[in-house]
Amino acid sequence: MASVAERAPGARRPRVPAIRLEGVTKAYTGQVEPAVRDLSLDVAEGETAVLVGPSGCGKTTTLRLINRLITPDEGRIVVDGDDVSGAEPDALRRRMGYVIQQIGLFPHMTVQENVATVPRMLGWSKARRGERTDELLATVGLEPSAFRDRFPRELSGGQQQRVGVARALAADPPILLMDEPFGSVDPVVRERLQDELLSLQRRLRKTILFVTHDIDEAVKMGDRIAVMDHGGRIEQYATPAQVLSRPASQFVSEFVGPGATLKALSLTRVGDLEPAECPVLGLSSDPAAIRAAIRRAGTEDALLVDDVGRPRCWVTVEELERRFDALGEAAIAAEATVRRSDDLRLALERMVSTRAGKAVVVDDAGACIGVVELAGVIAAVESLRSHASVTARGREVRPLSPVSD
Amino acid sequence: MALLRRLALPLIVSGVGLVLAVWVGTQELDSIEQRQLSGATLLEKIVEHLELAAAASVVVVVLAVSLGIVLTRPGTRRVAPAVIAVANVGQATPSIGFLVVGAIVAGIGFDRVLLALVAYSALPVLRNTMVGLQQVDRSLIEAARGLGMSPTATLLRVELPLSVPVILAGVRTALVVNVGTATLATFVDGGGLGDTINSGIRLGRDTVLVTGAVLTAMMALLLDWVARGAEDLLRPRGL
Repeated sequence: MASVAERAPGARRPRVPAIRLEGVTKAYTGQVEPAVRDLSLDVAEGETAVLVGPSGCGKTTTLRLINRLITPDEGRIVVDGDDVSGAEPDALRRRMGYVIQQIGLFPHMTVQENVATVPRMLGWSKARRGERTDELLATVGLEPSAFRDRFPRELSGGQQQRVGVARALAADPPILLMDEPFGSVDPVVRERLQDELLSLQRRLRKTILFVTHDIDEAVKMGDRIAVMDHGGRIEQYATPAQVLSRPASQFVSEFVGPGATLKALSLTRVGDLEPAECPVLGLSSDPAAIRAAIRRAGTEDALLVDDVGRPRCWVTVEELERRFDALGEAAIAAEATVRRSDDLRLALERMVSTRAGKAVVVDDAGACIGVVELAGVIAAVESLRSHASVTARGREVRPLSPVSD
Repeated sequence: MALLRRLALPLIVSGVGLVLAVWVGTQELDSIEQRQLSGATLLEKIVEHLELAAAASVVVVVLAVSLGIVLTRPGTRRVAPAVIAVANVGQATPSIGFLVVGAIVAGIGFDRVLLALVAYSALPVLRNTMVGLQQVDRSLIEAARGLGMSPTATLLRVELPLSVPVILAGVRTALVVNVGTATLATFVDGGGLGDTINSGIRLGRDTVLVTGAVLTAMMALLLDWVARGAEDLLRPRGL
């Protein structure tokens, strides 16, 4: 246990790894190179760890080793403190939800029968199974009464994968193993499923081991990312911010590819930015008052809002002097708006798409609650980088405050 | 309309039976023909024939389906080609040869005929069982095992239901083959409609020969129709 304590000295509660691999090696018969060689990895309880790497690097093998679909040649795998080599494989697997890329819904069973697969094996009553299915379908965003009795072929790819996730969650397993779960759906649906899994995970706090070959997905989904090279060699196991800003090896930086900083922007939320200084006044304000406010704040312009606080336009001192009678036409419309929960990638996109070079932060009703500008984004990137370098030395805390939703 | 299409075959077969009966009724029958074509004799032959074909089919289904299951399990997959080869020999050998060799070696009667019929019709069921099980999407088995289904549960709840259509197609083939081949039972004293056909040939009574042959064909068609109905009933929904 000492090594566990060393790993996360900053953690508030003592963290027992939910999944621990120690020196695991697996070679498939007929292959010279082992698929996984001497792999060690801890996944903390309640965390999402992502295994990311090129195809054939041993990610899927690692998952299949954990639920004992295959047996390691060497090494130990410990789940919740128990060595899995001693466990009865079927009982072990029922404690772990399993989602695969091909989804694998049973085509001859209804959605309800598919979802209730594990509860049925566990001997739940029919009524309890039905109740649980409805609850889970609602959880994954499918209307139970409409989907319960359908067959898989009557569902779209995205709906099928939702059912796949519901099936994995059916008996409320503490651990979820997900093997490229969103690999077979189109990018739009994938994005939505990712967002839904993230919000689901904020509520459920499962231990998730997620496999993908897509670094963007890894950055988005993971509390930690394990970048894998062939043979299951872990090149770096760290928070997304660290992987992006401090790649541990040539391989990692090549795998992350160009644009690591831009990718890192998706890790920080608008709500985490230092708000920019900016006078905000009503549309009908006196020009002199606007000028005074701008002078007092030391800015170039001011934001004018309508009577319910929705941003309308930016005005500068010069514009006020030239056309103070026709403010609406002269000014730049304040169209670039973001919410606190948006990530910086989106904020940057909005900022550079308007002449003002700034974005207005609005609440759910669309009323202005602040202004962010480019300098703030740059400062956030800077702090992400220096923060990651600090945490790389030991403290492993995700450098962003959770979004309140 | 669907019902009519479904009932087309039995209607046609009944029509053929009616034509046969009318035709036989218009013939001048001598005493030999009258004995051979009496209701009691024909019924006895039909029952014998059905018994043979049904018994052989049941034995084949039990044996060949179990063998097919065993041969598609991970440990035994390697011996599958060898077993298929043996089954191929069974089907390639002329069935009359089987019967005669069987009779020489083991004697005559119902059991020997049964043995020959089984050897002859096992292949379609065995092959379809193996193909049916092999064509089940690997990812479904992966999912089932990954969810904690035991190998037996995976077989019973996923693999077999999904192979039912293919397996039943093989069973239908075996059934028709058995009805046809059972006519040869007459040569080793096995009874059946083969007796009727054979007496027709030996005694030069075409009416008897035709009646035996047409009844055999009708029986094969009707059994195939029943089996197709069973296939529709047993095919899992959702496919």
